[in-house]
Amino acid sequence: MKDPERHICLGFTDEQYPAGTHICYLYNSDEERRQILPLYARQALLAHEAFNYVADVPSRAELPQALAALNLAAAARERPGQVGAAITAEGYYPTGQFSPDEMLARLRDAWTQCRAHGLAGARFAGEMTWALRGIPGTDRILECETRINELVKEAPMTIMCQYDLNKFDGAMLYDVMNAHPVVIIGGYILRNPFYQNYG
Amino acid sequence: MSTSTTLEPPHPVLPDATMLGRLLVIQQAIDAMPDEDHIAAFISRALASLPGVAEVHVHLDGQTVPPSQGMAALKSRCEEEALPVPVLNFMRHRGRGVQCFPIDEPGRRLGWLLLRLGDEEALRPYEPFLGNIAATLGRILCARHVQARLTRANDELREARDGLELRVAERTRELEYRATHDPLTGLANRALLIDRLRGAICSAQRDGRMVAVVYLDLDSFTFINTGLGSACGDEYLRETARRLGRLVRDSDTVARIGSDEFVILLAGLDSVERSSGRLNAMLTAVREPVPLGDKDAVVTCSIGAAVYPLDGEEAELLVRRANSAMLRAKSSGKDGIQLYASTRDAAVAERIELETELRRAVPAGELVVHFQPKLDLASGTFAGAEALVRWDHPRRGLLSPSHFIPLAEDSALIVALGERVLLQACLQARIWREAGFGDKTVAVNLAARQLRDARIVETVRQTLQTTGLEPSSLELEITESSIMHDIGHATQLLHQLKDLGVAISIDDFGTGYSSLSILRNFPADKLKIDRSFIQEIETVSSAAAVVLAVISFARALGMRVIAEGVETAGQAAFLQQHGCDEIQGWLVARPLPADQLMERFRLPVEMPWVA
Repeated sequence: MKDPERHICLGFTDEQYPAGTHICYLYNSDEERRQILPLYARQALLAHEAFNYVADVPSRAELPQALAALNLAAAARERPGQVGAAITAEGYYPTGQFSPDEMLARLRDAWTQCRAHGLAGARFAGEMTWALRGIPGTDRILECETRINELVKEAPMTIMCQYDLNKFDGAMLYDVMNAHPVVIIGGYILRNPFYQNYG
Repeated sequence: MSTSTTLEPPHPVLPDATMLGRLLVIQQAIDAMPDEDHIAAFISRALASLPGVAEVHVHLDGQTVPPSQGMAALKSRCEEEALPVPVLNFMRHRGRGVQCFPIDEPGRRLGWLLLRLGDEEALRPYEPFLGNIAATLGRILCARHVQARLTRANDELREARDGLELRVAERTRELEYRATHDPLTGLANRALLIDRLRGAICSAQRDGRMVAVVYLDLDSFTFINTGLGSACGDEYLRETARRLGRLVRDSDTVARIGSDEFVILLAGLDSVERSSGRLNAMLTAVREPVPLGDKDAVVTCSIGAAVYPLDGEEAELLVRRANSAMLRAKSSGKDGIQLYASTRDAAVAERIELETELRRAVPAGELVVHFQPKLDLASGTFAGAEALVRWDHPRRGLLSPSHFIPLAEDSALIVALGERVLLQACLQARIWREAGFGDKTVAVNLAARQLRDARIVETVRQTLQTTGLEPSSLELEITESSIMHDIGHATQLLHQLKDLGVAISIDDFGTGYSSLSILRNFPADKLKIDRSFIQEIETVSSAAAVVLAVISFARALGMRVIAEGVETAGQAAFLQQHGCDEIQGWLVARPLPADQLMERFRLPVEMPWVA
């Protein structure tokens, strides 16, 4: 059942956005990303929301360092139920193959659990560079991104998909952008006029 | 969407707000894209979503290729008809169903935005915006080109600056080096020497230590220059510099301050005596022949030394005084050492003189070996003899080891001396065998420094081979204290010596701090009880107790026991009564020259302590 629409602060803009916003973050450098993401994560904790991060690091051993880069090391230790981290293999293709159905089910489970723990909401941030490594099922990313827009209507979690402008080609970036109602590009957050709401 | 009420001409289609938003976002996105490829692909894809557009191609010269023949033809037509001077934001119709927009930077065409249209009318409201996108693209690319040129220029500038800084630093170092070093030998020059000497004096003042300034002048060096030429002279000086450099520590300084004059700064000395060995080593090193072409040049040197704080506390003064000491060494016959204040410390001068003479004595054969017989108490016959070195000094007469062995042990000289004694002792033992005394063994002392010399095992093996002596006839005496410094190394070394077939005896036993458990693992054949216990064996009960304990310990480990310094019949009787195997001392025989020893071997042994 959908809650009354709640507005949240994303941390890097003064404008409030509804919980359940699906954001496409097109970034130009890790430095730029390291400025935006910690703000986004911090606001999740301040709003008593869960924060789940899927980091593009080779193994779990590097996760503490990835969390430390977001200033979340202490929070992850002190609030294990509120802050979670996974590597891309765990977050996107735990069976070795990417499946939109399974991805959506994982998101829904995470949402249900955070609500069961009494948290106000949930935010996700995931790095997408893994999609360039030939993982089976990668060709269904656009389908998944489109279906997430439907999912967040009933489970209003805020999701930020991070695409590296230097790694994805221009056409792919255009297609990805089309699937997100909100886009961050060049450091600006925009309501995306390309977004095609098939729902 | 709103509509117009104007009748003529037909209603123009008004732009849709969403489409305008998209066009604005495209302009925003262009700026964020990392390079031309991304920009071209993104714009092509994004503009294709506009109404009426069938195909889009962003052509950037040298960057992109038209995706179809139609686009290639359109690009060619655009290029053929292009104006000589590009005009910004200029749209060209190239016939029905196509549009092209130039992408320019000032003074240069960068490419074209090419569109094939499905519905010209549907696109018409957006044409000005497409022109804006082409112009934005031109401005962004232009800005990036300028930025890239700036970056390149900046890189070149930084590279040039870094290179310049490096060259300046190198040149500064080079000038500093030239100002402080002798160009021929690379040694410190006078300026650097004085600077370092001042530093060393400050440190010595703080630490309560001494600094020696050694003035070394080559004797008759001009003969090398005049006889063999200045090139040979230069090479000689370089070789001398290298030799002196090998004799000093990192904290010391070797300087060349004149044609054939060197000054060596020995810093942080505990005492003057400790430096005497190093001065002699310099004398010896310089005297070694230097091969120059097909000749060996031999040049001696005269050394003078002044010491802080004894001879002065100021750097220049110390150098002057070392120089005057050197001049005294020259006037005393060259090839020698003089201290500035030698009269004040006769002991130091004596030591330096003796060490200098000892270096000459070893190769000159002034060291002779005497032998002290050892008596086997069970059989009443001589078991062999211990080789004891004496110095047959040309002026001072026969000197006992206590006069010169400590000096030799302070330097590497003990190694050469020990090798000579070993050779003479083995030769003598071989002679005994030829004379019918093949059962007699010869015992030779090995000094602690010899044990640290990596060649010792090979030296013993070579000596046995050279002299033809049976290894079983040789006994090596090693002091207890010399092996306790490094148990691991000593154990390994003794095993290697034992493998040659020689016997090992532990000398001065009881005077060190040996752990019996450690000694248990040594491959020793014999323990030699120190004379200090034997002398008190009849008067001090604890001495007798130690002797008994050593005998008992040796028995338990299957070793033989010998007592040295036996001088009375009472001592001999005690030792015999308690199972000591051999005795050595004046009671049995004094050390004898080699030629008298065999006569002693032939005489019957008297043992008056035996009832």
